[in-house]
Amino acid sequence: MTVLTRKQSKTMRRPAPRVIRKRKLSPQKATATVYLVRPKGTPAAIERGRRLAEEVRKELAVLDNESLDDTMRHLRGRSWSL
Amino acid sequence: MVVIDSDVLLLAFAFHRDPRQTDNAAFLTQVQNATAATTVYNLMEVLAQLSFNLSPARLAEWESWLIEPYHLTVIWPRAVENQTAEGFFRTEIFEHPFAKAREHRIAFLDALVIGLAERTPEVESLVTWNARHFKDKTTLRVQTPSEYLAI
Repeated sequence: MTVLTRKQSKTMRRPAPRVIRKRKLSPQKATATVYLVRPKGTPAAIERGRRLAEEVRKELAVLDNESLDDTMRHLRGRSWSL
Repeated sequence: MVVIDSDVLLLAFAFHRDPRQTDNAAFLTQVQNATAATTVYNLMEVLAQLSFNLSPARLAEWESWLIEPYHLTVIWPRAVENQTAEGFFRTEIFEHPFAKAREHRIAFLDALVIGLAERTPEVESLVTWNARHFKDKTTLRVQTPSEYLAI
């Protein structure tokens, strides 16, 4: 009886969820949890990108009467830079 | 590596009368020498916002007009070894941002962006027009585009 009681107490002192949570938040593990996707960076891709970016800017001229700060306030739910 | 917040990217394409346009454009040109990056959360925030004003075909070309002109690297979260999809989702969408919120009282998307940037070893700083708000909430150096240009 005594042995069984001791074994049960040991088990109860090691709650599995707490151990798992501590491991997930450790800095060593956290630094490995990203990956980077680089741009193509070829002259052709950059040239095409700049041309398309200019077209997008023209298409978004409809937003000229709106403000960045109002938009960010809607997106992030608080006052922005002004 | 410099992480660029959504407001800087939105200003690159819209709000042409904004007084910060000159500094914003100069910053986006200069930062390419330091390896510019953004997180997938910023990327989605920008694309979803612009979806109200751009055609689906134009949105589908995002890698061309949003990534290539600024040489942007995109930072994505990755699961740790042997982690289930459910565990990865819980860690990324709940545990990391909730830990940030408890520590700093921070909005959900701010916490996602900062959390991912801080976990990227190459990242040194975050550039946002709302630098004042972020300065006491992250270990990263936080600057506005104007402050970046002044250094």
